Amino acid sequence: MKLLLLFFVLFGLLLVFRLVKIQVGQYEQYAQIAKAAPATPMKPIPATRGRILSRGPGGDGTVELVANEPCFELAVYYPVMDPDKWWISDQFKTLRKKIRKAQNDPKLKIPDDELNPVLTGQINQFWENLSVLTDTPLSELQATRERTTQIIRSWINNVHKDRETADYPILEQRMYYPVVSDFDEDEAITLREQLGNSSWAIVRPSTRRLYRRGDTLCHLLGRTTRTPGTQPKTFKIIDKDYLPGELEGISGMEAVCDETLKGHRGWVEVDEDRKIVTEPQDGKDVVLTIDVALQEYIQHRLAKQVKSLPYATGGAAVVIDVRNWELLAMASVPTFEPADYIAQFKKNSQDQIQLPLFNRVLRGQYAPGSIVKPIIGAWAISEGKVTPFQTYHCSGYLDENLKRFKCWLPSGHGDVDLIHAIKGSCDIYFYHIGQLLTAEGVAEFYKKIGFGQSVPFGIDNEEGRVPTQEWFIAHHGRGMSIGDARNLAIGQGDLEITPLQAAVMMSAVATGRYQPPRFIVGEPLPPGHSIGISSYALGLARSGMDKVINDTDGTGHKYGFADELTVQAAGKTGSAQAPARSIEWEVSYQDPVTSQPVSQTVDDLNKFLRSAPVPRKDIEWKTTRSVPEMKEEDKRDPNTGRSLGLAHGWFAGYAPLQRPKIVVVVFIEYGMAGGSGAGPVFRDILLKCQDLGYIGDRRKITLNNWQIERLHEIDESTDE
Amino acid sequence: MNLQTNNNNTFLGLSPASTAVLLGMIGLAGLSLLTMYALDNAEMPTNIVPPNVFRSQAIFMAFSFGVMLVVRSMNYQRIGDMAYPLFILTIMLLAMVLVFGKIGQHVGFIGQFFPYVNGSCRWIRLPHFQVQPSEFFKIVFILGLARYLRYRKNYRQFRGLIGPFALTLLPTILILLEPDLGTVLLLLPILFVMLYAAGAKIKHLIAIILMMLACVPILFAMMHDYQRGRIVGVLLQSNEVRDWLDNNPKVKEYVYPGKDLKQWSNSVEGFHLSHSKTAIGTGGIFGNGLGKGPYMESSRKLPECHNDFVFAIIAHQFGLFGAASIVMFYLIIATGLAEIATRTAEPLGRLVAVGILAMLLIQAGVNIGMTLGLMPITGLTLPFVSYGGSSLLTFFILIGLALGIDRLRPIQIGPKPFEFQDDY
Repeated sequence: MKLLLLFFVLFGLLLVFRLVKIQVGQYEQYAQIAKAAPATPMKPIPATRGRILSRGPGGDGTVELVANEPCFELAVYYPVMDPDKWWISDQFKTLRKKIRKAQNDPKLKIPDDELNPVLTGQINQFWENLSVLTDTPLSELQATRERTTQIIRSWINNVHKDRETADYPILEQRMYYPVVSDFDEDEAITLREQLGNSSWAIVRPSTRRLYRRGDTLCHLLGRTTRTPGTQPKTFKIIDKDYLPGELEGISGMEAVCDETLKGHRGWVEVDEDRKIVTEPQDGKDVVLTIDVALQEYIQHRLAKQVKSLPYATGGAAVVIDVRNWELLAMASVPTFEPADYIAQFKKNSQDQIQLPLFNRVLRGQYAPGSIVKPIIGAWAISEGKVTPFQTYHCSGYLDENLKRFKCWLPSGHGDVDLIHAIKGSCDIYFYHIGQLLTAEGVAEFYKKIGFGQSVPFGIDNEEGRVPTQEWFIAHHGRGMSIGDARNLAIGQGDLEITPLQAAVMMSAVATGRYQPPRFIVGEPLPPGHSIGISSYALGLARSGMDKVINDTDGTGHKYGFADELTVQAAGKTGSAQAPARSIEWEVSYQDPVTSQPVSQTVDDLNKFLRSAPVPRKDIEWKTTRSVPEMKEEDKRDPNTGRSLGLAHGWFAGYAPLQRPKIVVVVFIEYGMAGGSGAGPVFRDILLKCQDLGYIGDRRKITLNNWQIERLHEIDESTDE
Repeated sequence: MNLQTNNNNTFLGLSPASTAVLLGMIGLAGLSLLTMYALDNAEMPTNIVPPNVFRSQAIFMAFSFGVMLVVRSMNYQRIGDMAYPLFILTIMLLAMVLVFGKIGQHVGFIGQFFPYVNGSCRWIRLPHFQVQPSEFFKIVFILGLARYLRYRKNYRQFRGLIGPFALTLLPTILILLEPDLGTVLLLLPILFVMLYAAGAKIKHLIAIILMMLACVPILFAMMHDYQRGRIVGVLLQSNEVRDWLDNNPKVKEYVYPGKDLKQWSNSVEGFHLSHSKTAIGTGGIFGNGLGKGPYMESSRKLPECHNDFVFAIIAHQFGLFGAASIVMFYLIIATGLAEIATRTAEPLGRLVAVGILAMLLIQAGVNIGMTLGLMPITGLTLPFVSYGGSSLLTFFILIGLALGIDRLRPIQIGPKPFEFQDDY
């Protein structure tokens, strides 16, 4: 009896084991089957995409940057794109009925083979009609059809792979997918009339992005597109992935905040009851920390400045509030109209000189020049390599005999210590500092303050470049020498950073912290760390930067100082020598087939090298055209006879001096000089910040005698 | 001396064993009524679930419960005395159903009383209700077999086993011709269990099982196509097997003749099985809730979900907990029945109790196994839970018999039977 009971208990356990396997182990799979089965056909209710907002003037309230506007789309029933056996047999039934009725013979036998070409013809005719109705080339429609088919087929495979019952179409095979989007209402009405009663295609409402403020922040906002759909990784395809034709963020903020913005689509049963299975959840809005008034002002001011300079091809500016590490502005000019992105794409992308689509703040990599001097000087003092009282003599050249390693000021600065070296931007002093720190030491320090790696703040950005021993050997065929140490210390010599990295570096000078900023309200701060420079050394650098602007003989005083500013600002100019940008090359190589030497002109060298018929090492190239081209009379200094080259203009600083609130970095591509090129923009940004209440107070103050005296001095020097 | 001391741990005058049996039964009946109630409210199409199943099932249950109490109060040995006449009567009924059923296909008047439904003739239709003789044969079979085996000892030899097998064979053939594959599948295991309990040698039983297994291919070849499809269906669930059969058309033609494997899930057995498994699978751990879930709410329906596949719909609503508790209830009843059998020294009572235990558990096991895809799909109901008067009445009568045995438990004077300990 015990044996018998044991047998039954074991059998019971077997049943429970099987239950656990089906109900726990394979739950997802069966849930999917129950959902995918055609018994209850459903259709998605699209969720409205969230808006992108930014802060209003002075940080008060919010302003819409990107919103939605209604439009219409033409959607085609999936079986018409990719006929399946169940649909085909249904269509055959209808066709048979029609033919029998026409021939008045209810028992007429019509084999499938005869109906097949009829149906194929109907489908082809349908697509041709669509092409005419929507004024879209047939090839484009076919491409959309193919893309959608490919995605849905992969879904079908995914669902059916582990499924024991694969003999009905999945839900996604019985839905409509958009092929042409963005119709206006009148177009939609006309189209609806023309389509008539066809169940093969419908015109349904949809939404598209509306850019409320023109080109404001155009580089950061990014773009959405009608996605071809996503390849699901499992058979769970309903909630997470994109259906073909939905709006998907593919770049900029639209891509970064896609999860937040897109929301969750709902589902409604397609029958008389129209029961809503899942309510759609609209996407959440994203509020950027950008101050819209400041941003628009900066874009406008930068564009004006770029236009006024002879060689400037573009500019960038970054403003960070270092009290809460929020990005207040991030401008790159020239700009483009996001609403006309597609229409203008050809024109914009072919503009090799201005590069309007290029986000210089995140993507531009430039030699920083002298704006690194304060921090590298502070580092040398903090490390004990030099004392604050150590002076070096500047006579215009480091090496008087060979006339090598010259200072930008031909007459020389005389004996300078750190503060005065920053104030006059003396190169000779920093050649000595570089020599003391060695090239590896300088490179290592630059890495510590974030150069050579992307700023980890949520948006993809360029790394820039800090040359290392290996990089030098690979690119110059030699190791780093003492001369490279000197060049690195003044921000030249293959060092490249993005304007954003410059802003992060400048906030490190202002606060002593390496801290990537945030750009979305309410997001947690990315991790930062102390840069490990003593506050005494940083104080010296800051007072040097104070003198740059506030001493009448500082390099930035003439352009960066403003009497209207109620707070004291600190800054540093930077003029980084830069070669012209090549836009055309002549390449020569030996043709692998005919062994004849080939020579041709190419627009995009990298693209050519990737697809070249011969290995890279066998190709020779030289620049045939580069921008901007310097005029002959500008190539030599009329006073000193020194030869001059192209240079980027930088101006980086912060305000107020005592308790830093905002950090401003202005960059002008080929602005030739930091002071005259970028300085005025820097000053005007500070004034605008004061206007908006970020620094100082909005009251005008009356100038005292001392300030008036200085004002006269400026006027005299400007008159010269 | 207090004569009542034996009864001081009883409940309503029932022994612990009877209490366990009743509790398990009430648990199952409760689940059944809950499900019927939910099905009534789910507005199922009438071709899947007949209307007012809750009311009918409640009436059936009340009636069957009354019958059970009557049977309990009867002396089971008196019933046992009538075993052979009942056996013969039922076999005559079976033969009648078979003969008139076949004739009824052609003669309308007879066909009214002996309907031919779903390819088989199992029912006698009377005004207001219909009877399924093969259901009641289950009771008679246990009684008859117990009566035959009670004092005999010659089934210790191999030759002695011929008698009981002959007793099983005749009705088996009749039921097989109806055809009612499920009941046939039930009878043989019960025979084995009862033979084993009566003391037959395991090696003999195993030898017989092996011999029968050798006959399986012949039986398989004699079966109807749809029966074969059901048995093969257990294997056809798996994609691998279907793919393999696709590559071996000769084997496929033998086991699944004339049908397209690609259409398997649209065939009757494939459709039932895939939907039943999906219904169970979507229950998950905690279930969708009473009257909830795709199979209750949407237009997706599980055929026979009140009857043969009631387990699937319970697992769908109450999840793993509900489904496992059904298995647990059966094991509770089994423990009670085993206790009754062990404590009854009288051979007829003991054998009847063992037979009831085997009948209940095997039928429940086959039914649950079939919804889970472990067993071929047969028409066996889930005892106490499935909708249907015949099935309910049969099992309530069987439980009434068991409770009656527990109530009387006559003192056996003389040597105890079943003391053949060599096999244990």
